[in-house]
Amino acid sequence: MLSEFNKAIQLRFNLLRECTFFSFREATAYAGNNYGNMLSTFFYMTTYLVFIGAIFNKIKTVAGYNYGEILLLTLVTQVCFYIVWSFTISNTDLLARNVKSGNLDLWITRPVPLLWFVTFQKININSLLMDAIPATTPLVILVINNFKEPILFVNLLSGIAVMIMGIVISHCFQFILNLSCFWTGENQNMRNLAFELGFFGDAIPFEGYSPNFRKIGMLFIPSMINSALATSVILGKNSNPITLPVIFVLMIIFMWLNIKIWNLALKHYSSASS
Amino acid sequence: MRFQTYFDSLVLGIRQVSNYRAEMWLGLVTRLIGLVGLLVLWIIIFSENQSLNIKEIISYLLIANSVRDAIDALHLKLSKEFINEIKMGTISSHLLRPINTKLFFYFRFAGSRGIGLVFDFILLTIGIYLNPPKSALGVVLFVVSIVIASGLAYCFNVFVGTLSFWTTEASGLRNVANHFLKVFSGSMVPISYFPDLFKGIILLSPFPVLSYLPATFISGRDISIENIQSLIMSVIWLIGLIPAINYLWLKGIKDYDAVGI
Repeated sequence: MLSEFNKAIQLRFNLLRECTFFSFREATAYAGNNYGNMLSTFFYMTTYLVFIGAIFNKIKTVAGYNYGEILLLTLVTQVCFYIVWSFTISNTDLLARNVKSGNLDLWITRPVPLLWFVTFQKININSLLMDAIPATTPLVILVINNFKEPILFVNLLSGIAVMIMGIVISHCFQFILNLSCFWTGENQNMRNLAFELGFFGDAIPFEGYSPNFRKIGMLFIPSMINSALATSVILGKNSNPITLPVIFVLMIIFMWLNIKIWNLALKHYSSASS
Repeated sequence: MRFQTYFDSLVLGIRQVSNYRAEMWLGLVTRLIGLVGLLVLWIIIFSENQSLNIKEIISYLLIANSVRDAIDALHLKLSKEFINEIKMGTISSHLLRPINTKLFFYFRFAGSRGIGLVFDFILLTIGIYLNPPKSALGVVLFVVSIVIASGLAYCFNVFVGTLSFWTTEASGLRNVANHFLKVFSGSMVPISYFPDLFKGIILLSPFPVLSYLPATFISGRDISIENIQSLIMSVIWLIGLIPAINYLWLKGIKDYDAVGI
């Protein structure tokens, strides 16, 4: 029994390693486009900082957050964005394309854990190295220069835990919406919608939302957990002891839903060869 | 006969979009969510700073964003048509026809924008209702600025799309242009919020006319000399950009290696 379990874990680990190496080789084959993407993310960050700078040129705080705290929120949001972009968006796009073209047939017939495979088929490590580092470096420097308040170690750890669980929730949310491709075939706008919801209000502090909106947001707008709530916990603005357990339960529910809807979607899959 | 070709391409665009109605509505919902996110942020900012007028800024954001989308300076979607056609080599068949390829793409794309334009008109109407025009001059300047902005947006789209003749994949460059336009057109934050020196430089660029100037003129809030100078600068940019993109396009076609030809 234990040996079976070990084998399953080993298989998943091997898949993860091979997918990462293959994705890296694939990404480095298109160097020109990589530079284009790097330029794009760098410009995005620069223009975003100009936007925040323009707002704080007129005002002192946003929902109680000063310039330094808003920069920290932006940094957390960016870290989440790059992780979700590299792991989730690459794979949801690929899955939708494979379902539409029938290429999923190639994998369904193989002895691999399919959900695990389609979740980690394309790991865009290149994007993390080439896009995230140049784009977030100016932001990190700005945070260091403008952030004055001390951060408690326990808050930092709790915040990182909320962020990681929030990223898992965000992944499940995007993945579940993307599974509509099994029913509709074409679902580009559904993926766009999932992305827009997943990064809704990326500059809005958690305390800026009304209490009711926060409750709705925790369930339907996952970006509120991985960036806004995580930053609030790091800054010590949210010291509610039930926050971590609630987010943990939410993560388990989203993961369970992910598996259930995936199994349902597979039943609806019209194979290209049948 | 020649105009009929462009009209037919417009109708073709409308038919193509109407085949994917659910996708079309999802696209609108996605846009609305993005806009709601921006509005929520500004409402939070204004709730803490009572000296600023919340009605004015919501009106501004609605008008600025609806105008920017209506003239296709929001996502430069027309440039995507160029990029895809050049990348896949399907542009070859269009180049062989006795038509203006750039205009053909423009009209075909325009046909696919029907519902989006209706949505923009609704947002524009709400924006104007919240903060009605205060002078006839403002309305005239609004109309003039929209005409100039449409021409400039077309130039930006063709410029970005034409770059595909030299790079295999220009989507990264398109994103760069999108980010640039997002902030410097004033659709996220009014240009009047920038420090004076920075604001002066932006007003000399061709970007403010895409959002900031129309939204400012229609509200009649700030028909200042510097904004009218910025409008005149936009005309100069337009006059300069039209021959520049035509030259670039012709050069791109000369460098283009069509598959099978």
